[in-house]
Amino acid sequence: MHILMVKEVLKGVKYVSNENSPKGIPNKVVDLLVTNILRKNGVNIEQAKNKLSEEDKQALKEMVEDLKAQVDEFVKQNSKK
Amino acid sequence: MANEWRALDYWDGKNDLNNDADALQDATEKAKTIQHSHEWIIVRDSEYVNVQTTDTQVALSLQLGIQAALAAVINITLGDTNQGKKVAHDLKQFMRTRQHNSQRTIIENSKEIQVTTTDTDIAVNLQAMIQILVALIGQLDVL
Repeated sequence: MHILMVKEVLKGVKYVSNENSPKGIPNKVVDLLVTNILRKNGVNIEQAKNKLSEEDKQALKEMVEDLKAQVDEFVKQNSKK
Repeated sequence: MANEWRALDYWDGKNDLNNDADALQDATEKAKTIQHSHEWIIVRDSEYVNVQTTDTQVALSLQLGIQAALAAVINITLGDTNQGKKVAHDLKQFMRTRQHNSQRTIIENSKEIQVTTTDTDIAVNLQAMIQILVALIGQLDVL
């Protein structure tokens, strides 16, 4: 039921953001979605956190920041045209 | 019909290097597909058409990079379990819903045309994917 609700919210967001250049979905909505998916599947966040070593965290952080920079650049390039 | 102007019937343009080929030129069709986002550009009975589209190769490699990162995060935290697979499946499901845009461009009976298309859907989708990844590792206190 939660998921259905989120999808409804997103439909509206997509409609709005489609009118012009891509603005993306509000981070809060994505957070809600991810929280929902984890909860729905019975994931224990605290337990999951403990499985990540400090090195893991550092590596993941760098990887995601790098990917994010590349995506931002791509989006910028494509909205310039 | 007989009076219909046809781009390939006659051409005295300076760029024309192969006169005979003009009338014989078949319809050209080009399609580029990335996941569920389709872009069709159909060029028919035309010539000297210059097409510029979104760099789907870059988008695709970024998409694969994000997917790999998501898989890595899930694998480390949840392991190769059923639960991990379900979470990955649910997240992918969401990404898929953002990929059903399609656009078609048809150039017919034309000469010297410049076409530029932008697939905003790919850009929006990439943004959504990276947002999911950021949200996920945010929950795990990585950021």
